[in-house]
Amino acid sequence: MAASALSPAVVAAIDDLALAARLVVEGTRVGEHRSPLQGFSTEFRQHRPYQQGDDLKYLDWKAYARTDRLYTRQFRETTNLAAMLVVDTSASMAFPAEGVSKFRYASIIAAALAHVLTTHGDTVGLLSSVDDQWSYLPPRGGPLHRRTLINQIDQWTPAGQFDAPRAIERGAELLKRRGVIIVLSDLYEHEEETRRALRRAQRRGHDVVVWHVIAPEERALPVTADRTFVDLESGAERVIDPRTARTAYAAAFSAFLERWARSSQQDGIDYALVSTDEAPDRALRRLLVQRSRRLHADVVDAGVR
Amino acid sequence: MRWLLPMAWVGLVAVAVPILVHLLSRDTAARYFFPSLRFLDRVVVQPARRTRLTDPWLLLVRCAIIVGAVAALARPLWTTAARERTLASWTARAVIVDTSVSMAARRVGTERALDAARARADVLLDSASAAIRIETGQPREAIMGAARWLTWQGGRGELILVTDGQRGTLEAADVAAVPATIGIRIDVIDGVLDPAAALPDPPFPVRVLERSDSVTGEAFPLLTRAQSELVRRIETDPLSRLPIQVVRVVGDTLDVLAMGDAYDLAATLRATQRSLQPPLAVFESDTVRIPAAVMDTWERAAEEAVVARDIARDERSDARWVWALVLVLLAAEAVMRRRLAAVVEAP
Repeated sequence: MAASALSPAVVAAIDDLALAARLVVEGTRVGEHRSPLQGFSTEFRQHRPYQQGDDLKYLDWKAYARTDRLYTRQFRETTNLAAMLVVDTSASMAFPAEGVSKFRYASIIAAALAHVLTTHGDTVGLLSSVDDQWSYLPPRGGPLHRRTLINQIDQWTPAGQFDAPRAIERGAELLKRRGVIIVLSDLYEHEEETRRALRRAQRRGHDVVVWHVIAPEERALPVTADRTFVDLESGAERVIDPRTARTAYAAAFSAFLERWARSSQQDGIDYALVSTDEAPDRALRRLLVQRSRRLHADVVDAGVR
Repeated sequence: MRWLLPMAWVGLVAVAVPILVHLLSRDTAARYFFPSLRFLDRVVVQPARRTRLTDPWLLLVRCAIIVGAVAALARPLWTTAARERTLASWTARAVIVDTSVSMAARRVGTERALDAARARADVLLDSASAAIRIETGQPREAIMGAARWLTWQGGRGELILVTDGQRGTLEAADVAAVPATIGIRIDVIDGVLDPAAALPDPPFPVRVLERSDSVTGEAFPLLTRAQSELVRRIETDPLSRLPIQVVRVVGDTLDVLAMGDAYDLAATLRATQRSLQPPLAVFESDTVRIPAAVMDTWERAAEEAVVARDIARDERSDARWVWALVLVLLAAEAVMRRRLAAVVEAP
């Protein structure tokens, strides 16, 4: 059970992103009997009956000696994981203006994740795109690269529009071998194109993880009086009466979340909703445990088949 | 409840200002930066109607502040029984003292009629709640001004003329022009002409012309061409303050209609005559006084009904309590405004 619960506001208030990330990572370890950090490793092996054409070097001769049957050892992934963090740095991530913004929260989670992965010897890359301005760090490992990653994340400021489909496809291309693509975004724009891009990345053999970052203020309109609502990305303005629009908005937003959850499940994409009012260490732990369970389930499923 | 300055209620038109502001504020609704409008596109949003007021409770408080301020400026007065008694006895007086030449020429006992009139006026003024003294040689010209002052004062109003009652001092038309709610009193100072101060008898007969609605006054039939010339000069003299009108020429004689106090006319004629060459014989007229019976018909009492809407200027108003209420409302408005501003706003 997690004893730690770092306040999102406190963590977000720490100027040093590396320190904030380390705090979050440390928070995930407190009170755990079994660290969830192991769960991200994709090193996986299983036996399956030998089939003609299998590489003989993967034959488990010891098993053959014991059972008199031929089994092939399968490796789901090499021990050294390549991950690509695709982070949404669009203007919409700057919401809310007061408190912890989605962008700051995503930055902390991304930095903490980079910390976790590089600590375990994995390689981590970073990619973002705003208004055709690309920001990219190739997947590498080591503490030096970790500092570079965190510095890069720290330099970003939310602005412009995020072309999620292109960023995901580009990230999938830039991963030279099969790896994990982790998308941190509010997923507002190009909803269908983004899904298609995720599916394409999956077909390339990558493991696709989507962490959908939202603010609690987005679930229901937080104002009561008439306001001129301004779209943070497009700048479009519209006078809205929240009293009459609240119910329908909440329904539309819930349907939006539901669509993402359902389609991700159908596509086999690892999807999780992250709210900025959740303690970041607890959120990271939840995401990692969720992922660990999913991988375990995949193993079981594969075993059954 | 009475209002000492009811005209201040005109300020209620200022209530229109916050109402307009709240009606039009839809166009300048506070900007709220939101991640995306896509779900607000999909929902059917009721457009904020122009006829609907924004923040009605805030508007209500703001209107109450204006109404309270206007009410305080109107100087409210809660009428207690004691105050009612004070108000019932409240009287405003405008005392017009006739200072024409005849008043100076008459004697009441050993003092001049003018001094006696002033002493009478003092007594009348002292017993009034609000008073004004007007001393003039032309009482007719002062009457309307005095009536306006009394109307402005509200409450029971009395217009008192202290005069010797010479014909021309007051006319029926002047009395008719005074608002019916204002009482009129004529205090006649009786006295005899001081032989030392009195003017000599005119060397020509005096004749009173027919009166009409538009022209009244004494007529002086002038006997000689020279006297006629004198009158013409006075008539055309811009410095002469006496209105004189030649109405008829009979041979060498002019019939002259003089407005106002005949005694003053005679004095003016005499003063003017002295500057003429060759000098003319002095002529003048004795005064003719307004019959007492006529003056009795002009007098009337102030209408008691007016007392009900009296204004007590000597009372301290209760506006301070209303101002205190306005301060409370201002504080409430500030709190409400801060709460509205506290709604999460844009970066």
